Amino acid sequence: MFLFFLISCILIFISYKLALRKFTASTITRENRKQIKYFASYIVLWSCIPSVIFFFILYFSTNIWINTVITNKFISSEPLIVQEIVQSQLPALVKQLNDTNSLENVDFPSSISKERILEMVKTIVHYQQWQQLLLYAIFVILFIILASFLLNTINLKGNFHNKVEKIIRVVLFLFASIAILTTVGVICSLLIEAIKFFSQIPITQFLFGSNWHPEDYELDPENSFGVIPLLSGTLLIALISVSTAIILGLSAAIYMSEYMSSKKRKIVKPILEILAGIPSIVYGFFAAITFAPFLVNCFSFFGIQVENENALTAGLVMGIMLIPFISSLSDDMLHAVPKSLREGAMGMGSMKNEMIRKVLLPSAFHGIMAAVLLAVSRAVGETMIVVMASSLAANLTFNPLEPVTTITTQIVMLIQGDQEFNSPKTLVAFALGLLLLCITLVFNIIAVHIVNKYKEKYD
Amino acid sequence: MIKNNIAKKRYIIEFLFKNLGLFSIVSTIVILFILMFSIFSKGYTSFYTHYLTLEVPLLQHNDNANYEEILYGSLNAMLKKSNIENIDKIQTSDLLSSISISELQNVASTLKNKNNAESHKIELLVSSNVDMVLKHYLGAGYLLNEETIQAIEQLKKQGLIQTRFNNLFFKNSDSRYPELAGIKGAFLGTLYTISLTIIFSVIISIGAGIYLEEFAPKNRLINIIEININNLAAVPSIVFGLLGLTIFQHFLGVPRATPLLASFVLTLMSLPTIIIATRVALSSVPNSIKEAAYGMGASKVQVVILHLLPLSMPSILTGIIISISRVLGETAPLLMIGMVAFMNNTPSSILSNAVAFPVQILLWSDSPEIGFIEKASAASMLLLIFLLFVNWLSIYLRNKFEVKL
Repeated sequence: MFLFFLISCILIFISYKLALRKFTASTITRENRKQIKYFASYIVLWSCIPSVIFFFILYFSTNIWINTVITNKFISSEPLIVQEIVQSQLPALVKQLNDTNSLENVDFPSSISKERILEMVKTIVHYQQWQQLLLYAIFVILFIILASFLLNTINLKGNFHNKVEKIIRVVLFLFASIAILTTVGVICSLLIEAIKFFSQIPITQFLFGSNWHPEDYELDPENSFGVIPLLSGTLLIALISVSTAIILGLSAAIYMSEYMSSKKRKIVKPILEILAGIPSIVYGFFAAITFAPFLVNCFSFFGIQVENENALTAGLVMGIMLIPFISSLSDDMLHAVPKSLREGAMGMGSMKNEMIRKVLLPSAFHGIMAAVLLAVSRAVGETMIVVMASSLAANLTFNPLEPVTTITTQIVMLIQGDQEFNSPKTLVAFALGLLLLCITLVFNIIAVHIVNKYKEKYD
Repeated sequence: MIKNNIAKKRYIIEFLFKNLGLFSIVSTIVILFILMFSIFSKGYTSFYTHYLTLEVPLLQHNDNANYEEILYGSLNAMLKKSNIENIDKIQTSDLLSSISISELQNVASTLKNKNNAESHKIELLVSSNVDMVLKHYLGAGYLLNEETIQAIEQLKKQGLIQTRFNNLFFKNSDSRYPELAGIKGAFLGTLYTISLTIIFSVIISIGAGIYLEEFAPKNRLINIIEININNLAAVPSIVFGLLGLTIFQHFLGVPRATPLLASFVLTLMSLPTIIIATRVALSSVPNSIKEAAYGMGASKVQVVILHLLPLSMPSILTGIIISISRVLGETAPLLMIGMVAFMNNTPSSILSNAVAFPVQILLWSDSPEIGFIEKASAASMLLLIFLLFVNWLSIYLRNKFEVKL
């Protein structure tokens, strides 16, 4: 990677200098005097961009080719276990061979013949070395050919300023379209794998089944992938967290925007925003190590036996995480309500709380609803807190003191374990991902729609 | 009379309503402090550790020497010398760290050529269990019996166990033994990942922001891109992990569990925030500056690069810092691309297997040993301090470089 960067920098520098030298005293005219630099950058851009693009296309396509060739040539004849081990350890093996020239310190299960693996890894390393050499050679040659061709053929009279600007515009457009490519990538990657899953397990069984046992799906594949318990667990935790966040966050926002002096608000608001900056892994750690034992102790004081991993722990800690989210969004919404409404209410002799409850909140209701929906979508998609603080048992229950599991926890568990692609046990993670994406997007679209509609009302 | 009652009621409601808000603000701040306190109080002990001073007789390098015997012999002798009761009940094998024997071997081999004295005093790292007992950590010492704990306390009183700064925590990578585990590997993994992420995301998202704000024609495609960016910000992070797993790892063949793969995924996650920040910053530059530049004959690209971008840089920088500090603590997508594995060597390049800082916290907090919980707390504490610093930095930079327009 570094080498590539270095080579391209050197090439760019040389071609730029060469292009500048094309303008000697005899070729400089009054018209093209201002165009010298643009001419040089035009040459550089037109030789650099195609060769870089070509380099990366070649790189990735040869990568795919090497991978498929190796799998076809070597491991397709081996038993499944060997295939998995080799595929999961391949990069490590290749690196080991590159570093130490042998595979002696790597432990394999005894069922795998070491010679065959060594042979395979050596082939891969061999291919990779050729691939690198070839790609760099092609890159340099293409660059030189393009640059020299352009230098010799282009007429110096053109308006290179405009041409360079056009190229910049196209490059910027490509950057902007990465956003759309990401969305396409997200949807495609989830959809393709999910369709593979649904070809093995019917979609109705997935959406309406109430049993979730992916670990022993082989006994009863039709009835092990019911998503209802996961959905109920996710919604339960989201409900607890969002209601906590609404109670604390909304009243905090009301107090800050209506009762506090601006001097105090300047101190308090950043403190609340610290909560938004804490990464979810730290919340999860707090939930698992400190909060869960505390909650268990609290309940055992009242004589209620609670397990360590219950829905309430995850929900409450996630609620803390969502407080700044709700409070800052509803703060914005309260500020968007015109002053005349407040003054009208106060002028009719109402107290501040009556003004807030009967005028401010109803007129900001849509905005607050949107904030709540956004918070729900965040809570549904939140991963680390539930991975660390909620359990793996898929219970279909709405009792917050019982352990429940969520969609995200299950995705993590399914992908993290030993992966066998094409087995429904791994593929179901993508179906769950698709479901998660749909849920969060629906909540978001509704929320954005509400906000837009509401904004028009007062603007 | 009735009127008075109603007024009283209204005042009470007003009082309750006002104090409900105050209560929720105060309780939120209290929760924040409890969270910070619980992590800091559990974590700061990781920065020191304990060493046991041991007098080892006649250390001479000898391939046949049984260092285990020498170690436990001198340990028993020391326990006897310091008048400790019930020596036979003390779990001597649990006192010192697992590297003590090899440490002894190293000392012996360095002393090989010197005319060493008859006995030699060396300091050996105590095991994690002992360390936890000495730090009075919550739940420590469940693997040690009563006599051992008393002996440890006595040794501490006699000055044979000393407190030292724990440089192993910064020098080592992950380890199977909590007393040897450190954060260097995770730190380097995150450093590689985040530097690559910053490079990719800054280039792409500032470019995209400029295009959408300044150059984009008003047509359907641009509209779709804009809606897309807003929706991307709401996609759960774990879905980005699945994207990285299928598209980048399986389809494009980027090696698994490397900082390069992680930086691709994190770049996509940080894009929407920075794009939106860039657009807001560009649109807040007054039109008069733009028009003045156009009037002087500047082209559109020149106006953007020479005038709009420098003026809006402080706000863009704030957006970049906020977005990067958010993806720095991101864990879920890294779990999807296999960055969650025991890794006891430091990553050497962006193409070697690595763990990231937050993933290290997850790995340590999942392990049953209490020593690892301490390490996880310390790592969370460092992460929190760093993120707080970065947040402060973004506010500071915004205030300092904000151009008054």
